[in-house]
Amino acid sequence: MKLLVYRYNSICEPYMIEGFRKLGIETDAVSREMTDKDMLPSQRVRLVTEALERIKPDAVFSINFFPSVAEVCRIYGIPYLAYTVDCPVLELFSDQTGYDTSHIFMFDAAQASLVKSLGCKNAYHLPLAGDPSFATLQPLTGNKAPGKGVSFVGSLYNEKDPYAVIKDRLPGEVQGECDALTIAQTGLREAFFTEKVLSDGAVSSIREASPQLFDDYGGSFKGADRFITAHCFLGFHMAAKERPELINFLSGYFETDIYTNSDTSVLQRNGNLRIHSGVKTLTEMPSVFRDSPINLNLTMLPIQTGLPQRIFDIAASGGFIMTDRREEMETCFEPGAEAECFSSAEELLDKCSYYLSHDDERKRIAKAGFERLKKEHTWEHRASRIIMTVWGKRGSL
Amino acid sequence: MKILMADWNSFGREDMQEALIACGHRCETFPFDKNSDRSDPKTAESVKAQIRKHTPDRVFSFNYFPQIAVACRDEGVPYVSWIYDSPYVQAYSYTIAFPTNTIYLFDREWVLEFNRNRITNVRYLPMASAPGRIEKLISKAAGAAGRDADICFIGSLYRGSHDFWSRMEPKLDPYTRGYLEALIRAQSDIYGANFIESSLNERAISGMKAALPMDTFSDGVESIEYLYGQYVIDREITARERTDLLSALADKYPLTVYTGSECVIPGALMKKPIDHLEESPLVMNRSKINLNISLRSIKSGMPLRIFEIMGSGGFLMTNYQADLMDCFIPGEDLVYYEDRDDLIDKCGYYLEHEDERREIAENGLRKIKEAHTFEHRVREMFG
Repeated sequence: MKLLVYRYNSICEPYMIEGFRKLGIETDAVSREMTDKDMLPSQRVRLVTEALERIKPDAVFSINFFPSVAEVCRIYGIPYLAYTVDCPVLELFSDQTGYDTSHIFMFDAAQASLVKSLGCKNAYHLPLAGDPSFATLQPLTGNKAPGKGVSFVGSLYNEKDPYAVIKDRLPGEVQGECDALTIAQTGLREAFFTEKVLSDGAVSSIREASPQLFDDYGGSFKGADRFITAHCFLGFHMAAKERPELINFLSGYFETDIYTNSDTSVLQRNGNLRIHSGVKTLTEMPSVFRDSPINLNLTMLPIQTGLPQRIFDIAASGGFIMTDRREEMETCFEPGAEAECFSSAEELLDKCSYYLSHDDERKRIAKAGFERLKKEHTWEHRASRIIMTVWGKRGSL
Repeated sequence: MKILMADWNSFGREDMQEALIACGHRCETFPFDKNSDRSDPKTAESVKAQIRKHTPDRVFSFNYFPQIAVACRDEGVPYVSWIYDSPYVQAYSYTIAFPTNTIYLFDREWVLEFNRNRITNVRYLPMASAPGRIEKLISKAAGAAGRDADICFIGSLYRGSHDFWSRMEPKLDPYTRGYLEALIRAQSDIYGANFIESSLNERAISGMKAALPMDTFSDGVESIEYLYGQYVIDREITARERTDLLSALADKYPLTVYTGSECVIPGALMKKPIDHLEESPLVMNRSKINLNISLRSIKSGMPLRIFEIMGSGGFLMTNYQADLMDCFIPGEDLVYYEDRDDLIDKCGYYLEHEDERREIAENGLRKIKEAHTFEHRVREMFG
């Protein structure tokens, strides 16, 4: 069996290629977009067509979903296997998802059922995964090594907060609406109601004040403006508000290490807080996760049920996961045994206090999370699931 | 035991007096003005004079009054109160911590809020009904016409020129209006978690203060967020919800609404409010389906209306309140709906299934008689 992998330089591509290889599947790649970031859909169509003629693969695979690749696969009548690892992915709302040849694997179950309800016949839920070799890296030395408390690796989103840029240009009523939804939604993380509750007036005012954002995402489906406003505009703003707040809260109690390239001026300086520049994903981040007593994950609010990459990366590094409570958590890691969850700042505080004074239990949980990942959540498992899902039901591999 | 009861125009005062006597207590009353100024020492003085005159073992009132609490503390007499209103700002008077107080409250979640703040003399006690009195009333009125209804709602629609929201809304600045409208829309769809109070920022509070000034009591610990959240916004959410649900029902089924609110539900038969002692039980008994749509400030508690309906032998269709599970079995004693579509479906079903409806209403009434009469509550409060 032979797969053509359409690559654009996602960090997940090498893992999935390796996963397919371990299953005995041969892969070839179209790699131009890894370096050429201004590729037009028409160029993509031409490149994929040439490769299909030359390589004659059994299917095409890509990380995330490219409507133009789906077009070519439909014409050639071969399966297009797409695995979305980002959120939001507006291409999931394009008509090409409905083709018989399009098979889409999504890490967020709520999104998978939404895309299915919009007409995608082959929409599946597939959680993200990790690479257990993360656990074998050398420890970081000097100032960069994590401390004795809680670590957070990631963006504070202030550099990506579109609301901060245009706030003063919005009508008063829309400012009020944005502020109210931000406070209410960050206070009730279990259900993302912002998309539904937004008023039409707010959506159009925000679009008017920030046309570039909408053009960048470029969704053309019905409700795209509302979706972008909720997910990409307010969703990012909510992260920019709640991440520093939670870190400021934590550093009031515990030694707190932050690894980020974001502007950290929003963080309150105190004896507990240690600010580091961002770490390299493959060579440094895993060591931070493994060597931190507690690793914080705070999922982007628009991700409704799924587990973000950070959770799997922490587990793959052998680190202890402390995540906001997610609907899908129980299907991947058992809370209390392989990871820990919190629903409120108070619960986070209680659990951090507990686990920082119970080293053995914490280490046991981190180890169990790592074992679970090796057993069920590697990229190879995902590659296998994709192949089985598409060919298993046709009866031949 | 001799109980001195503060007599004001409260729910249940006649039933309570009867129950006290039936349980072997003596019940005396003194007139009490529920609107008297709580900071005026004269009110407490007059209550003290009553205590000296009657020399009771306990003083009792429906709802809680700081003036009575002060008098009872000074006279060294235990004060037992039973709160059935929510919101109820007087529950945040600093006097509630007096050791002479025992405060019973109909909402379990709200009780826990006090207990978490180390106020331990606040206890959970659901409301009650007087099925014996109602039974006599019904048999006396047998055959009286004009009260039959398919679906019936008795209660406020919180609509009128005097409502807080109606007074405030036209004067709101744009920011605060946008803020509150968004919060109301968000909360409307969500049950079981009320985030209004915790989601008001300073700018929205000052915007509301400018449009409708309110202030906390100087001798109370209530927050300004509590006042605006529960008295203004939760009420407005309930107003919109009741109007929306009743309109949707009236679209499909015959609906009778008894309300004092200046508001018309299109398609419904609108009637004036009725006497809750003499008339409501008859209407509830003769309606095929009785609705309860709880006020949003009530967290987990069962509003009075639930007990009035079930104690009248009426079939109850209610929104979900967690405390229901303490006393009843949904589907056997009553039916709850989850959202608008569910309400419409279930009303359609039970209008057509008379036997099931009757059986559920009978089960509900039996449960009330077994465990939720005023006499049961008197025994709980006074032994």
